[in-house]
Amino acid sequence: MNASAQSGAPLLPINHAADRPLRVVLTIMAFLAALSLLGSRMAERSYLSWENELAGFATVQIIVESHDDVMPATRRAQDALNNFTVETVDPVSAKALLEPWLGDTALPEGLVLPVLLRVKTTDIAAIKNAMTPTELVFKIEDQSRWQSELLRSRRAIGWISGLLLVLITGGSMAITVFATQSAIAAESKTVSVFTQIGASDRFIGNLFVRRALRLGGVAAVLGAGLAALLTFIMSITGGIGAQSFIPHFSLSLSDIIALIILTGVLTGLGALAAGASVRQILHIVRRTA
Amino acid sequence: MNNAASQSIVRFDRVGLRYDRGSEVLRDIDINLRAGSFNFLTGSSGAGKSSLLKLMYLALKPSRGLISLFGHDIATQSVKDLDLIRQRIGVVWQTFGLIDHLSIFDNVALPLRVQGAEQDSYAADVKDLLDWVGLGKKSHVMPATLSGGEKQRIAIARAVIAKPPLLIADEPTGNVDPQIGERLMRLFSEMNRMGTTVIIATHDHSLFNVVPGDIYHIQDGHLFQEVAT
Repeated sequence: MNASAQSGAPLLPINHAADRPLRVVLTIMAFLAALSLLGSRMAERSYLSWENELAGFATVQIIVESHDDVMPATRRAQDALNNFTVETVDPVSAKALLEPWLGDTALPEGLVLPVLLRVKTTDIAAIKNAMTPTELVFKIEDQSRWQSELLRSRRAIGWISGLLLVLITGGSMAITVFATQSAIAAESKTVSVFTQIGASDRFIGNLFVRRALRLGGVAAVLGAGLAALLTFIMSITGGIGAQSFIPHFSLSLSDIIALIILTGVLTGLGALAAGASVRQILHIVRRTA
Repeated sequence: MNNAASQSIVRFDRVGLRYDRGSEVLRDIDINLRAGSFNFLTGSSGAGKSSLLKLMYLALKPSRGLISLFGHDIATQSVKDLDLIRQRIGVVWQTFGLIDHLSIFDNVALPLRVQGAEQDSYAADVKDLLDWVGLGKKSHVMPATLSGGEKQRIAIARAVIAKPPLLIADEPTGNVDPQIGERLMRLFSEMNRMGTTVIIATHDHSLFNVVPGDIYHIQDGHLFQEVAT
């Protein structure tokens, strides 16, 4: 055998069987971190979509007593608001708006739904001035309550996702530190030989950092890949309906870029944690020998 | 005697060693190994030979006294400087200290890799040295498959591959047959001729006749230099 072909072998053993449980745990952590990231991004997109839908519109709700009053009331309101862009919500759509609260159970036949007009303005006073002479019973909903609710939900989801990401990343780092300490203990003879032939802490530390990079990198790619795959499958199979408050599943190019960045961050932080852990242990060892 | 030869490579002044809170296993050790000298360390089992060698190759810190290697007081050296000093010491451990997951080629090349040498620069030297110790055809083999004597030779090859100025060997011929033992002693002698300071701990007094050198005897933790008769 060519001598040079044998050199350059990894100085720490690659033990696939012993590393398997660690790889599985790190993969699960990366999967959870990626899901948390994707979840927060989907929630953000849903918020923006709802926000976009609500912003710039006010809804005029006209209360009518019987079905016969619906058409005349609609016409009078449209006439009064002819200076604005007005969209009349048809009865089927109006009924659909109640579904999230009432489900798809049939409404009582005698129940008269209010007439809904979507007016493209945020000037509530102008609408009120225009509607008052009609003597109709009306309410104006400027969506601000919904917008503030949405903003609150967006912030809450953002905080929760961020916290989850930090916890999961911290957990991954702690696992890597623990695994590195175990690896040093398992390879104490090897480390001792390295030390004795003059290897610096940096040299020895780099061996464990490379090991953490290899293990953590593969786990992060696998975990993020699984999360992306799951999201993709949910997006093509429909997932949770777009009409729901729960975000609709989708996977965009920016999501994939975010996942790649997350993979790098998880791998890098794991390697940093491993390096710091090795140096700390070697520092203690050096004090006695 | 020229300056280089008179230079002290290893100097111990009233060195003592105790493990934890036990009694001292080495007491008031004074020794001065000159550059280029060849030295033997003898003594019965448990007398403290290995402990003395461990102090020399910086595997242990003394409980008291001063140790100076290559003219540097080790107590005042930084961790980085101590690593550089260790790189100048070749060690043959009694337990060989081979790394099981590395081939014998990689075991021998280890000190050079640690010193940052490129593999192209050392591959031929490693191969030559393996040939010299009679294991050239086993360069790809893992240590676990070798006999005790073969492991001994690999440990020696690793200790000398970087041509260290100080070579410390703990019973280097203990596991090899007399013929190989004599051959290894010739290797040590050749290195010594080229300037390496050598100290060998051994039970085998016949080695004293193979290579002339200073003989130190350790007994009950005290070191004595034997006077040639």
